[in-house]
Amino acid sequence: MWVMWASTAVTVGLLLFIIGFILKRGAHVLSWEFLFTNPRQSGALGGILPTVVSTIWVSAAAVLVAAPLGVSAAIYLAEYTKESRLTRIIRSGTEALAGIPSIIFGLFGFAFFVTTLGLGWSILSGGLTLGLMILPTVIRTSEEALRAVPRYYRDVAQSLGASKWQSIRSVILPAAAPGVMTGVVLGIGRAISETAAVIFTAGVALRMPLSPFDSARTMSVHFYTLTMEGISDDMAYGTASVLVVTILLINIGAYSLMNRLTRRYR
Amino acid sequence: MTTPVSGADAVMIDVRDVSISYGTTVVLRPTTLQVRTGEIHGVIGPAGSGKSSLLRSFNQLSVELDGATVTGSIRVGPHDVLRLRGEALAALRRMVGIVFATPQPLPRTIFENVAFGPRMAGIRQQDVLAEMVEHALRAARLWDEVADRLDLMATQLSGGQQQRLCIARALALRPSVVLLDEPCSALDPITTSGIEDTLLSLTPDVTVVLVTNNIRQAERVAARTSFILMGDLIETAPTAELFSQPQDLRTRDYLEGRFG
Repeated sequence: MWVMWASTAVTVGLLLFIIGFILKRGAHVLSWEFLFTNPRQSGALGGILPTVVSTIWVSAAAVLVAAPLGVSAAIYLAEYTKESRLTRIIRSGTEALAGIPSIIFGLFGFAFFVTTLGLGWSILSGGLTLGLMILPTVIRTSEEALRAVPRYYRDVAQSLGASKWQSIRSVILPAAAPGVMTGVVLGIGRAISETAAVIFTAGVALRMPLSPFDSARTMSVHFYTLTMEGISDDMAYGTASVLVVTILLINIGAYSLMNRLTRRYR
Repeated sequence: MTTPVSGADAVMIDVRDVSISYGTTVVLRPTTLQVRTGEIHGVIGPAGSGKSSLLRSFNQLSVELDGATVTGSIRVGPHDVLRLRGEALAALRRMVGIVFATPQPLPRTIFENVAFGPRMAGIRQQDVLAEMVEHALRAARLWDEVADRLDLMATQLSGGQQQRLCIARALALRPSVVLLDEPCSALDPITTSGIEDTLLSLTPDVTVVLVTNNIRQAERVAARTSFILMGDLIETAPTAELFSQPQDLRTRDYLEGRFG
């Protein structure tokens, strides 16, 4: 009993320690000005506005790629296929995709989107790459959520004259929405915090991106560059603080939204 | 298309040589059975004898959702059920309501549960929907209890109310047939009696097929009753006759509680 208690305490403690450590070293540079002004001298001075905007753009592009594809694939797997060799192959393929190191995705994105398709280092290349990277997460969590919807929902909906698609759209998807949302949020979290895959595909340009075809430096990449090139530890931890707080806020927001949805559909 | 639509012995559901299997497991051997228009037709038999599979084949749920293979022919009114696909099947299901063993409200309000079928059929006007919902709830004898709280989540109702809500939901499109799959197995005796009254009040406008594990229930409400045992239809007769002078020894044994 106390072992489990201790493990829990260590886990939570570690989380608080890491967040506290980052905030302690970064909090003093945080201000509205830090968030909303452009960097000067490669980021040693000034703010991080372009990296905030870039992060939003790249993550949004990733979600726009992964959510429709992932949810459609999950619907297909959960509702339109019977368990067979093919579905097992698809599923283990998805698992394998989830296990590929992100830098490999970066390399692929560079070779395919940046070079072959000629999209260059851009928000589009970065978003597409990250979208593919988080696709397995979205598929797996969405499929599990769809499978967890009580069987009788399908009985009821279709017995009342709903077509299969009507039943999925109006009964099953809403019931699975909290789980699907969880998958998408986990994906957003991964996309925001990703560094390796983004450096290769979205590039490191530290200026305000004006179109999807512009190169962009996300917060994670900015943090990495500031630290690796010894530009400014203060600014690096400031950026990391913003990143951590953003991810926390997204998680809290998603969970409260999920709670509301869950209550509505129970 | 020769099924008579009126007259005392008109047939609403015509089952010919129907057998049902799941993969290699046969749950119903060739069965022929007529359900007359406007009657309550009881189907009794021990658990696992194929009653529910037969019932769920009357609207093809067994084929589409359980993966059953059904052969033979089932006619409901003018429809050749086993040949129907797509929109024609949806149209059949609008005229054949079904109520399941445990109350199964969708996670919506009372109103939206009853309005679900009409909405899926493409009805949008709020006043038409409201009229249909009220009619269905009255027919299921639930209106007086819920009229002032139609916006309540259906899951907040009691078990008996939920089951009557499911009956109302099945009635919303004014079907000519209602199938009930052991509708009272999760309910107490008083609630059960209320549901039975509801069923009696539906006839003769609606033809009712009532699958039940409770032989007394069939005795109380069914005009005619069929006995199914381990995949075989043993006999069908007017209920009083079946109970007083069963033709088959196995029927007598079952009714006397020797097995099942």
